[in-house]
Amino acid sequence: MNDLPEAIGKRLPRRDAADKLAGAARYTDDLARPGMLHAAILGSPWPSARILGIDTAAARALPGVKAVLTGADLPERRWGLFVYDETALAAGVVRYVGEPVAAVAAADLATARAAAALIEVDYEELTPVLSIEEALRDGAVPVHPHFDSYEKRPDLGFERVNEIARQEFSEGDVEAAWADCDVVVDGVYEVPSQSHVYLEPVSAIAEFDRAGKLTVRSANQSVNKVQATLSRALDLPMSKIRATTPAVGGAFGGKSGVTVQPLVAHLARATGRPVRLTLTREEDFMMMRRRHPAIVRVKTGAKADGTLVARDLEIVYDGGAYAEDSPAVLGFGLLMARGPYAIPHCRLRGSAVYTNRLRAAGFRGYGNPQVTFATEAQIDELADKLGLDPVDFRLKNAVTTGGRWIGGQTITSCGLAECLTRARDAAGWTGKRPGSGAGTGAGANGRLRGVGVSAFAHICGLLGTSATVRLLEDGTVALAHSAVDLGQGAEAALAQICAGALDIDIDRIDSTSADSGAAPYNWSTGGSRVTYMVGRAVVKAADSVREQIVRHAAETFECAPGDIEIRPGGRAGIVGVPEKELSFGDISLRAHYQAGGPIIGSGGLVYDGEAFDYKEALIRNYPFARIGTYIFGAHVVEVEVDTVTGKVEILRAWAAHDVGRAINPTAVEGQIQGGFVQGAGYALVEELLWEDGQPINPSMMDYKVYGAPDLPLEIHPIVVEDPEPSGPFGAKGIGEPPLVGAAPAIANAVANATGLRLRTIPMTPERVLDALAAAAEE
Amino acid sequence: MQLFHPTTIDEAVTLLAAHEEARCIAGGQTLVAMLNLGLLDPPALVSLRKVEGLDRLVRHAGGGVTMGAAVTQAALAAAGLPGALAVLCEAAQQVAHPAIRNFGTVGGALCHADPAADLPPAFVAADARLTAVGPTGERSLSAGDFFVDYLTTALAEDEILTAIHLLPPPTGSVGAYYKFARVDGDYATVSVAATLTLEGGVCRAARIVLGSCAAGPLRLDAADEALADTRPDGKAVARAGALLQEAAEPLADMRGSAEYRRRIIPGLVARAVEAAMAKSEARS
Repeated sequence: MNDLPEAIGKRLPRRDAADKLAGAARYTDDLARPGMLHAAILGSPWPSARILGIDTAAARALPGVKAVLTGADLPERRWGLFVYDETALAAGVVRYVGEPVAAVAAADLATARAAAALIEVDYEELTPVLSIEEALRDGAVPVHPHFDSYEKRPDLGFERVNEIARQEFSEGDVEAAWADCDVVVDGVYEVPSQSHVYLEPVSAIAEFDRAGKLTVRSANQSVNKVQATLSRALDLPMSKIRATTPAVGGAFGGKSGVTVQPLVAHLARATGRPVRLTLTREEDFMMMRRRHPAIVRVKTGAKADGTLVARDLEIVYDGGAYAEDSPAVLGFGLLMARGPYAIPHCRLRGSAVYTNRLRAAGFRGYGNPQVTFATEAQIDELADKLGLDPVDFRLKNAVTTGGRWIGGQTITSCGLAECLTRARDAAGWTGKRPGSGAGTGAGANGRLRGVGVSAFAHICGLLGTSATVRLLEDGTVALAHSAVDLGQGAEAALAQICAGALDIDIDRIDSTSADSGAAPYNWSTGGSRVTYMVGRAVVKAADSVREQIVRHAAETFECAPGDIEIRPGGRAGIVGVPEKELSFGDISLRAHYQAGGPIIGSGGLVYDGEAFDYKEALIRNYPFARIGTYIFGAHVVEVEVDTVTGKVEILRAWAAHDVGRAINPTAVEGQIQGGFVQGAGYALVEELLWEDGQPINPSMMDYKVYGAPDLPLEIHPIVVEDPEPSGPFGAKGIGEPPLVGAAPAIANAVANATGLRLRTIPMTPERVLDALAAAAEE
Repeated sequence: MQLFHPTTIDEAVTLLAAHEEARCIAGGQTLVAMLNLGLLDPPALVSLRKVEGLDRLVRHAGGGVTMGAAVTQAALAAAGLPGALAVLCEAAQQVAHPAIRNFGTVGGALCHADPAADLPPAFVAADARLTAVGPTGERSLSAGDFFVDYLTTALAEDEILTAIHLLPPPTGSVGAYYKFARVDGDYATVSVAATLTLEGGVCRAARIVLGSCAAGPLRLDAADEALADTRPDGKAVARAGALLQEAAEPLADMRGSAEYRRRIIPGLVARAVEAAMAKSEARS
């Protein structure tokens, strides 16, 4: 692939950047419609309670109030991704603090909020289920007593009360394999609930026209999911719903399902007016989504020479009050639980459970950060016991191209070893790692210094997508797809792929995206899949346009299509005859006005890689037969641990990622740095907390995320390119993996600095100081 | 809610007295957030933004300083005050974020009297004197007497803090503010404001004040005396730290448990003293 088109691999500035920097980008809350009403929500004060009655009289009496809705006013129609357990407003019972109980639409926001505060709800408190342990204990109270009656995707595998799903990926014979191990390490790891903290809180505007068609403008990751779920929630055919997407201020998985769109649509239907709702930051923290906290038990064994032999892993994810994406998060976590190593004997099992806390959902990494924190910490613990260098130990067991993933899929491209060696060498690993976990790290002023590594994998692929490419009359191009630009640069990357496929300048491409009425289907902007999957659809559509261009040129020159070549810059001509050529504009005019009709190409696909091999592996209740191609990364992090305060400071990081091909290296590096920062927050500072079911830090004053001054400038992205044969120009995904590898590398660096293994994150100063004090007492 | 824009202090005091439960507003960085959260709903706001001279920082001959209550935190952060008064600039540099410091005022931060805020311990360490003006006239009180309790000052409801006075810092004096927080811009988990007067490496006087460790800035005569007439080395500093640790009654919140906060006090006191000493060494 040395003769890549001009547009591929180019560090192009993003087209949305100037508007965003100038504050000119328009997000949903910036938009208004004529006659628009404003909405407010009343949330539940209890984690579990029966609604005995709701008095809305005072709210309705407030001047300016146009509608007040409660669960009783809405049709009994539930939705969900795997279990249909959700409603727009609580139906009879509340299951978490903050759950929307009633909603108001009024002429202005202050009136809507004042009215919501006037609604009186009579509750009978019920016993809440507030932890994984409580959910699974014998005689546990069911969070959903009517779970059995919900419509759901079959075979989720649940066995116990409060289990949403139970799954397994196993190969070999784990029990017999322990006898072959010289060293076995066993541990329990706990990971927290992280909040998405996108900059833009959830927002939607809904309106019906006189013909009964609903238009919803909202922050989302998939107009197609919004459209489909609204169809179910409002009992409208999809042809009566248009979902569009203004600028979106980040999502990270938190906007991948529907959020407030059904509620706002119900208010619009009830009032006959456009209605806008934007959650406050506190409401967003309490009502939306979060990463699954989890408890992970892992046991891994190896031979004295460093060959990994067996792993037994059991994980329980806290899914919160509604199932949302839990079955898929669970299964994906298990699929990643062997790690990127050829371990012949594995038993990887787990479940996701209901609790009376905020629903958990997809979040950058999708079950993988939880598992990888535990397993990559354990790989270091094993290396320690074996007296092996952690990088060498990983390299010895690393999967390679042509190898098998657990479940039997062949690995078609793998830059893992290159990621490990390049991160190690860039970091100056050998000089920085004076001892392994013996508290030998040198530092000044009561600070201990250490360095740690992680290796990890992810996938890109998943489900269906499509794109269209049209040649405009002047030979420029209109590209349409439904990838949402969440701030990650999807629009630019896909335009670059389109420009590459047609070998024209990117300025000749216009994009329309994420509008269910104007752009073709895409399952979702998530799962690190847009560059790989939507990119493939764009190439298919562009290839169809190329074929048509060639046909027009051949007809014009009265030659065989095989004699026509597409030339850089938007021209088609006869091979070997430079002067015989037509511009795309000439060809498009011919198509529009003389023969053939306007040129339009479309491409669509469902992920089509190798399926799991159900004969080789025991795979129980995983909802997909094939999900994606594998992507790889390795991080090296250098930290200092302050022995006075317990605070962990990241000094430098090297994050190497195999992206197959970097379509836009600047955007890839941005994803790597941003993901690492979010992963550092997960490792060290971020945790949603509850007391007696009440969230105690649902604000940006109490829940802290890292900002620029907290982290080093030296987060070095290292882009590794091992082209994926099925990818567009060899490209794979990058969105999630940079988060996945951060926490374990940081924990391993802390262990190297202090000699202490922290198995719970976030590693807050207090937790670290407690561990240092406990060690000092021993 | 009524909003008034007086141009003189007398006018402001009259307005404040005329409207029960009225509040003064200067930079609004705390007050507006509290209004938005519905924590306060005063019938009237008396803005101090147009009061003549209130945003002025005056350096007197001899090194003393008088600053109006509406001097912004950003202005104080950049003032480059000499000797022990550097503790004020360092504390101001670490208040929240630049946008907040550009609006937030010194007087506002002192009057809010949040025990986790940065400026109160620094002003106590600098031994500032505060001027309050009310209907019956003007009075002066020390920063140490100003902070009464959690979010409570010695100001009467009808008084306005107008100015802060600082005596010329003694020759050989140094100051430093050491803040420990979860992330940049957060309130302190624990902070230490330290001023020392040094004579040939010997500490003649010290004021060590903790933030986030009690209902207000925490200073102990015994701790300060433990440092006096010593070369503030490990032992004396450890003694001062231990005394402060014993006296501390920190709250537990998202930033740390009370026990954790108490535990890190001696180490942070040592760092603050060390930072102050380093300035003395750099000077000589």
